[in-house]
Amino acid sequence: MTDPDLPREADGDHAARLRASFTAQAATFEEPTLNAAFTAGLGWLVEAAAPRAIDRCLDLAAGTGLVGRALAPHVAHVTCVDATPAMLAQGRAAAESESLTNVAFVLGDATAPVVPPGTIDLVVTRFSLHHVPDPEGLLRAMVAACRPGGRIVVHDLASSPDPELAACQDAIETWRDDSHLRAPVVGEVADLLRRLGAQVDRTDQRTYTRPLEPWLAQSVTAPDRAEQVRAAFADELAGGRPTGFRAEQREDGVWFTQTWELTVAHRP
Amino acid sequence: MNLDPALLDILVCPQCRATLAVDVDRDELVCNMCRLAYPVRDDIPVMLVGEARSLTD
Repeated sequence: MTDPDLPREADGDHAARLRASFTAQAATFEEPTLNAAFTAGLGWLVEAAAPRAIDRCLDLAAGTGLVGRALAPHVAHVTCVDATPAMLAQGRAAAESESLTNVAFVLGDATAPVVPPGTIDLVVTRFSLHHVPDPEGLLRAMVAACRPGGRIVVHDLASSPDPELAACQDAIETWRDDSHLRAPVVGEVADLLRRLGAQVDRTDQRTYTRPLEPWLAQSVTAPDRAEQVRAAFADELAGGRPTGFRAEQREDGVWFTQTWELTVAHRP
Repeated sequence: MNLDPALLDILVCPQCRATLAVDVDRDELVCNMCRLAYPVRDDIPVMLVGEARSLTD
């Protein structure tokens, strides 16, 4: 496998790469045949968020607002903030087709909140920390936006506590989608939230085993990079270097396992 | 410009956190503290300082 320590560019370049990546993915982001994973854990998150009818919610780095739209029937209002116009356009169209009238979309930087501090009842982010150069900044923004007693829910990939495996996982994720930077290690989000003054109520991990090819198709991965990913899994299956994703050969192709982590906290 | 009133109630300037005034004629949300006008494109507010129009020029 190639050195997983891929070079990192300046934040401005990453912001452009992020927008380009998610503009390319906007059409496939919620395609159920390619991205069943995205809807698979939604109920888990909504249940953990314990939404109430009076809640004003903020979905940061919301993408198409998938989480915000799932929360909308249970709460008073949701504001979805994301930096990619194509994702917001898809989200707004979906909200209209779902007859949701209490979801708003805002183009913005998730680390520079567009709401007054200490005013939001429920702040969520899902599958975002691994894309941002300053994950602590995003968590800080979540805590700051939250009112005292309000909840913070973070759902993301969780990488292995073994640094070598975590580096392999990040390398593969980055080949697949070059806007991936680094997934938090299991328990890291809870540690960061505590450091930022939040009180962590719960962390849960789940594993999600999924087929490789739809994963690559959904992210519109370039052919040469997709080959790097396939080669890494093939190497592991042949007894070579572990990827951290526990590749397995099934009748219909290669499958692999990600770990997802849900962290629920509140602002004291 | 067709913006959700509940959104207008909570949106603030990402730079200074001041409340915003609506400029219906220009499709903009104006921060009078920073003298910045944030565009609204396709009914989606663009709350990025780098894309705001300066009102001091």
